This record gives sequence, C-alpha cells and structure tokens, in this order.
Amino acid sequence: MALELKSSDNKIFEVEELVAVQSETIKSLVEDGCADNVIPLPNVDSKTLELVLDWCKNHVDMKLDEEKLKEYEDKFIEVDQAVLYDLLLAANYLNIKDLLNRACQKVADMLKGKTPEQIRETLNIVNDFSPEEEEEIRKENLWAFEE
Amino acid sequence: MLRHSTSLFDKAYLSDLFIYFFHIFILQFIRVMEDSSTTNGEDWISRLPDSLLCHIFSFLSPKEAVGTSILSKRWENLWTLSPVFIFVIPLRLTGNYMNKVNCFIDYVNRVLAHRDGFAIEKCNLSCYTLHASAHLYSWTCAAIACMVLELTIESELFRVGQLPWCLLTCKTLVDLKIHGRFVLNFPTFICLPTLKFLYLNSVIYGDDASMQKLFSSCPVLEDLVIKRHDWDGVGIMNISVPSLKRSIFSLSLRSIGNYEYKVVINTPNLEYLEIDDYMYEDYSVNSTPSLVEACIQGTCVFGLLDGISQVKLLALSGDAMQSLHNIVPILPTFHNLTHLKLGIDDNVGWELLPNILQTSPNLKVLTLSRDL
Repeated sequence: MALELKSSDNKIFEVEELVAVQSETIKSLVEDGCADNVIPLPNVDSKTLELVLDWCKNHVDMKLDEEKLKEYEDKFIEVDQAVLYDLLLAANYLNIKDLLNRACQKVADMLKGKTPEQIRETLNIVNDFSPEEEEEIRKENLWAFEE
Repeated sequence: MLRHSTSLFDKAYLSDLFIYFFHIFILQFIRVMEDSSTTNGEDWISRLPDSLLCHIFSFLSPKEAVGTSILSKRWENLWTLSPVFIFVIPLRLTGNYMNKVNCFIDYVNRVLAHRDGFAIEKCNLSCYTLHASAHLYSWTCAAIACMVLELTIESELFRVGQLPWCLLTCKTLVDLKIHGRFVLNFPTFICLPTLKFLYLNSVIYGDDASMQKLFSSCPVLEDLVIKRHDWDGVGIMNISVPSLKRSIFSLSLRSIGNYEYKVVINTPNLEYLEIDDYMYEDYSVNSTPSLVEACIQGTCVFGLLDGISQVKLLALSGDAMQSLHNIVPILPTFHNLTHLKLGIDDNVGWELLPNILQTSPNLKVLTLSRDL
C-alpha cells in the first residue's frame, strides 16, 4: 500500500507503507486511520525528506544484511553540518529511532577527543564567558574528573 | 624524522623541528576542518532542543559530557541532562582533604538539584568517607525522584547508615547494588516491580522475616548476589523467588548466640548457583530442574546436593569434598551431570570420589584443579 507525504515546500512523495512506518510518527497516524489522504509534514523540507525516505527504504531492503547496512549508514551520515542539523530535527520529529541514533552518534563524535577551543571552532560556538566565569566553571566541574 | 644533531642551533635541526611541528599543526587543522564543513558559520548545535542534546549526551562518556560545560553559557548546565551519573569520591585525596570532600558534596548536590526530575538512567554513588556518606540518604532520594533505572550505592563499612523508604518502593529500578552497612528493614509495604538485578553486600536486614520480605517483593528478580560478612540479624535465610535465574551467595560470618541457622532455597527456575559458605551447614533446597551450573565452596554441602541433583556442570572445592566425607551422605543420582570439577588441596576428601562418580552415570569430563 502506498502513502503520500507532503514536505513543507509542498512536494509530494509517494512511498510504500512498509517504508514510511519506520517513522513512529507516521506509524501512529496510519494506525489511527488518519493516513487516507496526503500526510502533511510541515517540519521537513523536500531535500531532507528525500534523504530520510532513502534511509527508510534502504533499511527495509537491507534488513537482513547487517554488513551492507552498516556500510550504507556510514556513507549516509557523511554529510555537512547543515544537512546533519536538518536530519537530526527530521529524525526527531518523525521519530525514526535508528536514524536519530546514528545522527546523534555523529554529533557526539564531533565533540569527542577535542579541547573546548577546538569544539568551539568546529561548531562555531561563541564563548560568552568572562575569563573569571570560565575559570570558575573549570574549577567546579572538572574537579570531579581529575583523577 | 628528526636528524641527530650536536647543536640546538644547527640549521638542519631547526628546520626539521619546524617541519615536525608544522605537521602536527596541519593534522590538527585538518581534523577540525573535516568536521567544520559549511554551515555559514552558524552555531546550529546550540539551537537544538534540550531533549535532542540529552540524547547526544548519552553517546558521550560522563567526563566528555561535563567537559562541554565550558563551551558557552548555553552549555554550562546542559550536560546535567546526561542520563548517566557516576559520582565516585576517591579513597585517597591529596591536598586539602576536607575542602575536596566538601567540594564533591556541593557538586553532587548541584547536579542532582539541576536534574529536577529529568530521568536518570544510571547513577553511581560511591562514598567511602564518613563525611560524604552522610549525604547518601538525600542523594538516593534525588536519584529515585529522577526515575533511575540502575543505581549503585557504596559506603564505608564501619558506620551504620540509613536509606530512604522510597528506595524499596521505586517503580523504575531495574538494577540495584548496595554495598555498606545500611539498614534495610522497613515495617511498611515494599515492592520493586521492575527489579531484575540485586546485589547486597554487608547490608543489615534486621531479622529473618525482613530478608524474606525483601526478596518476595521483587516479582521479576532474575539475578541475586548476597554477600554477608558481619552479623546482620538473619539466622534463617529464606530465598523464595520464583523468577530467579542466577544467584551467588558469599557468606563468611561466624555464627553467634542462640539463633537457628538454616538456608532455605525455593527457586524452581534457577539456572546458575554459586555458593561460598563456611557458616551454614543446614540447607534445604527445593528441586531446581533448570539448573545448568553450580559452584560450591565451603562446608555447606549437607542438604544442598539433593536440591541441585539436576545440574549439568558442577564444581566442588576441596573443603566441600572434605565436609561431604565427614557426614557420609547418601548421594543423589546426578542424571544430567556431564562436567565435574574438583578443587585440590591437602584436605580434599578423595575417599568420596568413587561414590560421586558412581552416582553420575552420564559424566563425560572430570577436571581436577588447584583453585575453582
């Protein structure tokens, strides 16, 4: 059975129900009988929705091949930060657990093994602490992990 | 990469040094740039909702999560959304000891207050200093209020402590470890509906009925570890837990006074049993048809073997063999026993070995080893 999804920029996507219900959000709409007409997704633009649906389709197709799936996932998540941001919000809104975990893992990897200065640089975070405030926090929190 | 040089001011040496450090700089730069692909220089991550950031923190170690507190004001307390808290006060603190302990206490108070009911998945409270362990009561309350799933409470052993009643009525706990002289008998209703794993070391039960009540209040308990080293009010240990699959008992207390000492085990679904017991001699074990493996150390065998006769893999220490020999029991038939392991020491009751082999018609492997 096919479902119709409409992105925020009014593009219609026709997908198999099996693919679409990987989104828990869409799944509950189907179960509640609200999926007869086009399902509007005002929080997801067409570019992101296309990526998300590709993820879902591949997860249905490669369900039994763990290695192939992992390869696909690793390649899929090699996106620039702007796309990653959109994917995070879309996966969260559509409640697609494995996509959300993979995207969060990618962000976590960006935070690992870097000094605070390097993290700020990578993610464009502005340090709005005064030197005194920064010193205070360093003292308070990093204490617990000294040894 | 660096050539040997006799003088620091040798031109070739300096040039090599420069290339070396330039390499390092480039590698770091590439590392940062790789992650830094185009976003129009926007700080998008700080714009993510708290719940998403919380999810991201679950992929970081506690240390990495706390490290983000220094990034900017938005991040200062975000890390407290991390679902795992490990508070371990080190045993030996250098420098100003009291100052550091107070600092630690403030830190834990702040974190738990900030948490403000947000769910905690795992919380580890380990305090081996007198001063800090007094706070374990309130910290446990805070963790329970945050619907904690996995909780560890550790304290020093020379002080009797109290734990809140809400600990024993927590609806979310799946894994609970308590190590310390905490009094765990409550006259009121207790129930741990989701608890699957329970570890109790040096806990004070108060009396026989209390211990029995505690275990009967865990309807889905699968793993139970009990370690008793000092007197805790229990003479008769009654373990009746239908859901129990694995249990480990380590009992090394000396019997005192006019108490009746007996262990009653009623666990029909038990699969793994480990007993290290030099105290009890009277065991009453109801049949355990699902038992796969058992390891018995100590002088406790009387009455125990009958209940575990369906076991497939059995290990007996030298002391266990010797005490068996002393009571000359009628051995049950071990129909399913395929692997038998015996601990060897000077005292081992070799005399009984032929009897055991005779009552194990399907034995395939016999192992003799120094320690079990």
